[in-house]
Amino acid sequence: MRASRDFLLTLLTAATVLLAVGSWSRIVYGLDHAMVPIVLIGTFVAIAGWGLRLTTTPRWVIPLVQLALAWSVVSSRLTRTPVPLRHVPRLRLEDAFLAAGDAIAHAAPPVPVIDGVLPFVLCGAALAFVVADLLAHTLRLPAVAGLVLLTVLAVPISVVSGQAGITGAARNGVAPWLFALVVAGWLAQVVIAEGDRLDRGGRQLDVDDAASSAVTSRSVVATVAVGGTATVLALVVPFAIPTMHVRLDGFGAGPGGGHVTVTNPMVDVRRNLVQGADVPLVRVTTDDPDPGYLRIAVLTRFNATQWSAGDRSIPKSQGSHGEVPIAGLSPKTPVATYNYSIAINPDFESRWLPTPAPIKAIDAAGDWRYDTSTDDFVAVGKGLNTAGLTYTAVRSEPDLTAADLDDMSSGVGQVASSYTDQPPNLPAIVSQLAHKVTRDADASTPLEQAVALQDWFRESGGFTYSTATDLGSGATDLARFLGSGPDSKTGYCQQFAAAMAAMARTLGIPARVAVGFLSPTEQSDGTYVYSSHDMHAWPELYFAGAGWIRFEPTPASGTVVPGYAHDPTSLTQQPSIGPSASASAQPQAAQTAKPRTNAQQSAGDKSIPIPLESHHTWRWVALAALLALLGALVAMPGAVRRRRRRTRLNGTAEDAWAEMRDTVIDLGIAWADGISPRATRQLVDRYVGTHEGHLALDQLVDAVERERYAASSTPLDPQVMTDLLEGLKLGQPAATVRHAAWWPRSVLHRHRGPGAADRPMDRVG
Amino acid sequence: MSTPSADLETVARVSGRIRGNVERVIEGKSDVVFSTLVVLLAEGHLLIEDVPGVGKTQLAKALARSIDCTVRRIQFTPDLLPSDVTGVSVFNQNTREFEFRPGGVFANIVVGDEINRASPKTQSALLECMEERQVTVDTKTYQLESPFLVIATQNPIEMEGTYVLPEAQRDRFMARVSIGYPPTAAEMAMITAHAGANPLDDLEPVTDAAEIRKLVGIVSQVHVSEPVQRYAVGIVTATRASSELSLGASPRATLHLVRAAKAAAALQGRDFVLPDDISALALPVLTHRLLLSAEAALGGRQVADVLRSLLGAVPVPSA
Repeated sequence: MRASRDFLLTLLTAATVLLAVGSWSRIVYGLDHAMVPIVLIGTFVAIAGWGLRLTTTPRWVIPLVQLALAWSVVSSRLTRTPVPLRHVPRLRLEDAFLAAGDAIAHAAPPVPVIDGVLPFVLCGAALAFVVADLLAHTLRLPAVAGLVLLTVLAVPISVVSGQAGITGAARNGVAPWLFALVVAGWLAQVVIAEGDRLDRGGRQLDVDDAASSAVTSRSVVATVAVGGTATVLALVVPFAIPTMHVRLDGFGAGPGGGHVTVTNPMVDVRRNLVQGADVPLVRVTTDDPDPGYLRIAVLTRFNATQWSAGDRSIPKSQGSHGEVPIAGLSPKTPVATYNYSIAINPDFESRWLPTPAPIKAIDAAGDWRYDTSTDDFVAVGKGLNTAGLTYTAVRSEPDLTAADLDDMSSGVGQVASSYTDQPPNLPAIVSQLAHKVTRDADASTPLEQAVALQDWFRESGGFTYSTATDLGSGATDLARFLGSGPDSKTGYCQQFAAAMAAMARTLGIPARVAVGFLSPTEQSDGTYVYSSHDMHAWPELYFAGAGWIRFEPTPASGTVVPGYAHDPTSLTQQPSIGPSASASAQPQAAQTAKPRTNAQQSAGDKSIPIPLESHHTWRWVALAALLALLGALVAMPGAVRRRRRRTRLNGTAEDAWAEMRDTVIDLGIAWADGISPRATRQLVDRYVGTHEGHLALDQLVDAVERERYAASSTPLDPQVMTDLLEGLKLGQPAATVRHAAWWPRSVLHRHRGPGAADRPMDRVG
Repeated sequence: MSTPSADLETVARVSGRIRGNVERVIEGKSDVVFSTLVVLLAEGHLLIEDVPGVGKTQLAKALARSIDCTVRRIQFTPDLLPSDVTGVSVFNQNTREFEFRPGGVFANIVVGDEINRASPKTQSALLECMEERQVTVDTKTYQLESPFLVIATQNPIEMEGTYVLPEAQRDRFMARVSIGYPPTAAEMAMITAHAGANPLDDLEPVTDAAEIRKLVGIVSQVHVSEPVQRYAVGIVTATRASSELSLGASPRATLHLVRAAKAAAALQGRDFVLPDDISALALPVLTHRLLLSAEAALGGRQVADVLRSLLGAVPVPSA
């Protein structure tokens, strides 16, 4: 009985450590590939520890044996032999660790597990298992074992940038539900071990047992209360305090597991595209038959190192409630309007508001303001961001044809000259190529020039889509991108958009780079979801009378980034405009420009974005599981108590006596130790509320006296216990009876002697 | 092994009659009467210690009268000789042989009044008979008839003209009780009752020696479980270990305690002994055998107090 209980406790410790190790998925990816050896290590360590503790093995030997077993698993995984004595396995082992060190030194998190940090992950997990088992069971210090869990949880917190401490844990490093589960596991161990300590330690005879029991129960309750409160605070407080770590000028990816934070608008879109899960970020309900690009921010300033947001003029009148003027669009141009209802995932924090473009009207809560020249919305209110925001917007689609645009001038003079600014040190190749390409295409009007540039990028220029580039969007990097060096002609949307915008500027066409989302995925309920893999950048060029028109120079890739498998060519939202409407447009583009459906996606993409509802479902499932666990923890003492009662009521008079004792303790009545049944009757009798109860108590005392002290005993009438328990309950206030049913003291503060699990003893407290 | 319920009914019936009879004389002292019956049925001897005039002799006499058996009373005085107690061989001129004349001890119930007024030599003569239930005079041994109950009374030792009963001799008494002053109501009733005649004179025997012997046989059949034995030994052992006692209880005390508990159980209609029987009898059975340590005595402690705290500390075994 004791051994099996110890075994379950040992497994509980291992499971808690395993959960904590699961938090490392925030800093490494592919952790699931390491889970089999990690689980094996945990199992070996737990079973070895439990088994050795049953023997007379010296304590200091146990962790050594556990370490040896854990190492054999690590070695088996890395070298295919448990003991790498021979030369080749030794070399393999050395290589694995060197490669892991290299991965840590040169890669930003998340780093891969396979061909990466696997040795460190396994060794770290093994150490955590062994030390936690040593503290919690070999040394019987379960509370101190919490430090091991904290250390394991602290690894992702310290690696992932963001807030430190538990707030950071909940926000950035460790999922709140995981944190709560780990803490729940630890608290359960502490509580159970406290009960165990009482069991094994016993009591002094001359100590007032009732008082002693009360002190002990208070200590257990205090432990649970402190631990529980700390956990709840750790989980709740971060959500109540506005986060301050989102900066105005940015957008990029947060740590790969599902939390996306905008920190720098142009920046590493690649991070979003290649790493981590495809996290649903924005859900849109619209009457637009063809919802497409969603703009987050516009980058207007081009310098040697990057495209950046530039300055904004955002007076209070330009808020997020009401009409928004469309810059540059002729009032004569007919427009079609579509209503958008947008819901942002709570994990998506941005100080820029995603909106359809061109935007005609908006109604969003909070102090969001727009600049009339860029029509992008920036958060002004302190702590304001998009997380969990729901708002509506109206998109205005100009009914323009290619012919209309072809007649339009570039609009120079109608917009700020900064839109044609080029950095002074812009390499000449950019301008030269722009002119060469347009000349070769025989393009004369601004539109023709723009289309020529787009086509050149997409088809004739020999460009390859790849996120495997370290190029940025600055002038120098663009020169390398456009040039003929080893890393030229390869890039992703950031380089294509930046390069086309830069080249357009050299041709005198006002240009900027927009950052946002590519086409969404249509859901079964008719809504559309934009996810982190849909993040995208594209150039926008200004045409007098039409305003800012979007182009799409990025060629489809379809191999790494799913969104580009169905490359939407330029102007998909405005099919009558621009190159896609012209004879030279790519025919396949029009086909694939439709919003993707889930079916298409699974057929065409290697990585399948998770629909928003499934992400939400997952969270709900996790929340429900957590609640169920908490509910089970709360209900467990009562359930254990009821089970004991059922067993005892069918047993002997001694069993019935034990049942009465536990009922008395549950009801908060002092139970004296080491006194005879008759003396006990005197103590208990005054708490019995019914006449039948008094009679039943007499009968029970008589029966238990006979069973203990007479030569022969007589069976107890089951009705006796029914009457007695009823009498005891009726003698107490209803609140006390409810407390006894849900939170029975006899279960929480048991102290039975070893081997006497179901044998009642007088010596209880 | 266990006692048939019919036997227990006999015990209850007979003891009830005796108690009723005795309580006609000693009113309001049922616990003392009960202890007396316990000692009678457990084949022990009773020491009644109290100040003069509370009814020590009355109790002894009432019990003796209630049982149709031989009763002798010996008034212990400083000049009482051992031969007065045991008997003496005298030369018969007619038969020309020594003839044994039994002393006061030859009876079923012997009332030894004010035993501590006799010389230690005489006291020890009585106590030897009590233990061995036989008398040896001039190399000839005479068995004492069963039941044999000595009810000795003594004044508290600090009273004038008394000899302290040695520990070894006190140990031979199964129990010591104090009668104490009667409750007010009982004392007033006594005035009325004793105004005309001594109620002792009207007392008729309600049983006889043969029946008492039968009851003693029934009591010896009462079951003592192992936990109860352990409890009794635990209490006695605790007296030996206590720092407040310079002399703990003897193994004879353990035997007396268990035998007394068996009688108490039978008197209450039970065929098995409860720990409660042991703890209830621990004070009358053990107190007179224990000696306080000097420190405890200086601290004003009483033996009964020490024993009570020991009883609170020894746990009652359940199995």
